Amino acid sequence: MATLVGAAGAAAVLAGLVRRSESSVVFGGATLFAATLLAATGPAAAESVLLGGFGAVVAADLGTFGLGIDRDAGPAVATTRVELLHAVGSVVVALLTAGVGYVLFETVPSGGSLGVVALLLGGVVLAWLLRE
Amino acid sequence: MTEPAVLGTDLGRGEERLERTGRWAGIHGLALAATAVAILVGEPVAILAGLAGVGFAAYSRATAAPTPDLAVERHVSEAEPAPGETVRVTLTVENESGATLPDLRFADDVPAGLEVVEGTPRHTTALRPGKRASIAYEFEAVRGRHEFDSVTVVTRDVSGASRRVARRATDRSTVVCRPSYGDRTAPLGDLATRLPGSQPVSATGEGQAFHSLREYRTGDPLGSVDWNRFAKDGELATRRFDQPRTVKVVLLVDARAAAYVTAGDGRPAVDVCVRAAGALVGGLAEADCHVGLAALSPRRCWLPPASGRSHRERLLDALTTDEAFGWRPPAVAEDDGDGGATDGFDRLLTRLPGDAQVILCSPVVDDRPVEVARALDARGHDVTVASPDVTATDSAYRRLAATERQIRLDDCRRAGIAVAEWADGGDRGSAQSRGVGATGDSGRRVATDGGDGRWR
Repeated sequence: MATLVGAAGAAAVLAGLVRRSESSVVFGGATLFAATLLAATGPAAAESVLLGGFGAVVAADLGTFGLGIDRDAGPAVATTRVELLHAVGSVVVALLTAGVGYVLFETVPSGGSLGVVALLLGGVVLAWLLRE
Repeated sequence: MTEPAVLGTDLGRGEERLERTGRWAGIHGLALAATAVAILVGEPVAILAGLAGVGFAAYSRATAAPTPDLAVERHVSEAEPAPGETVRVTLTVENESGATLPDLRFADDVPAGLEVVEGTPRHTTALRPGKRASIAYEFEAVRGRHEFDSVTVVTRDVSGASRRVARRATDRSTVVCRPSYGDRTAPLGDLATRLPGSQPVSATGEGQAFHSLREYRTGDPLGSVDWNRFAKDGELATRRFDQPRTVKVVLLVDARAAAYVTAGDGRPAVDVCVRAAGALVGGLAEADCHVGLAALSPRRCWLPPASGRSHRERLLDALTTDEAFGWRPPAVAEDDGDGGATDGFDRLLTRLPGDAQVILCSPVVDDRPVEVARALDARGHDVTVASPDVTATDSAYRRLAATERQIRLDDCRRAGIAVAEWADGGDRGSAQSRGVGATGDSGRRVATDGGDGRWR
């Protein structure tokens, strides 16, 4: 089931890239993320969940960024550097966050208080972001 | 997400604005959704997927778009090009801010009226400190004074979440393009000054050509008494001669926003009228008229009638470079309070000499020129409407516009106002003119009629 949804998401991302439609790419990314969640409910490995979740966001991010820049700049302009910088930024953020999450998830024994603290910390960060 | 070409058009020179692009809007939702699913299903591993939401949300808030500290250098290949000549502009931007600009998009602010024919005035790049990026493009010179004085710069932070839109002031580069207007005359009326000159008008006085005889009145000069007649039947009669006079002509150019209908090829009808007026300046000055110039526009332009070579140069210079005849329509907001009378006509009436004839150069695409002509006629000025034909017949709407224009001109003729009409070739000087048959245009557009510059 999750594989099917994931395939549909990937197809939407690809179709969006071909048709140069940013909304289609965003929709595809959201579908990929939903597929990851779906897969996570029938228990999955932490690595694959992280890969799915971050992969979906990075795919949608790079897709929309590339399309946006393609629309803004003329065909003669070389935009590889801008896109590469953006991609590196996003991938580094993804790796850092995923790494920290993975280490916490694996080292903290379930039911331990450190996990609760980390969760609380994440909640505080989220609340701070939502406040703005 | 709008394009940089649209971004920043509302900014004044030297202003800047920091805004969020909305690129990462809703990313927190992923974290909430993942947490909710994890709690409902009881699978803690699902929370891990939600980390992407938290991580990227924090990322999007981490930095703001950098303030670009740029050194901009512009080089224009030709400062006084001939019309139709292509001019190359090279724009070099150097990053002086000491930090990398991860996403820098800039566009040269090409003055209104100029059409880029080669290359593009926009660029997208990432610039390390001290590095420079340069673009080159070519535009086609058209009449007027064109000021290059700013660059629109858009920078984004590396995540693309915020952008800073700025219109940076740059050194001023001025391109002045003076077309040769040629000579052209228009039929004039009989209103003349009291000064002798060379225009045949229905005035009598001293002169060469015999006009008529009238009864002698005391004070008539002895030289004009018809002595032959006195010898024949003993009555004193005075001979009268046609006296050529000097005629004052004020060229009134319709430059209201309504006259900025583009003529299919992007050339506003005002430009056609200005060329017509320029040609009339040449023709009338040749005929020893005193020529003045006024704009029917919220933007002021008034040159009182005078003669002489330097005055003629002044007139042509005003037609070429005065802001009133620029390529950007006057702002409609310049209302002086009493509504309607925002086109400077009242101001003109206070300045117009009583003995001046008026030639109104207008495309006559609305009713105002007719009102103006009739008002001037009612005040005793001889009025000629010189109207270049800027209409076309390639769609039903345009045929209707052409017919309406003819009806307006007929109104003028019925009111006893002379109408000189000509089809002006759309000589923007290029083969680049976009298809005239763009029927999907907005309602105000009228296309130029091809022609050979003849009177009809």
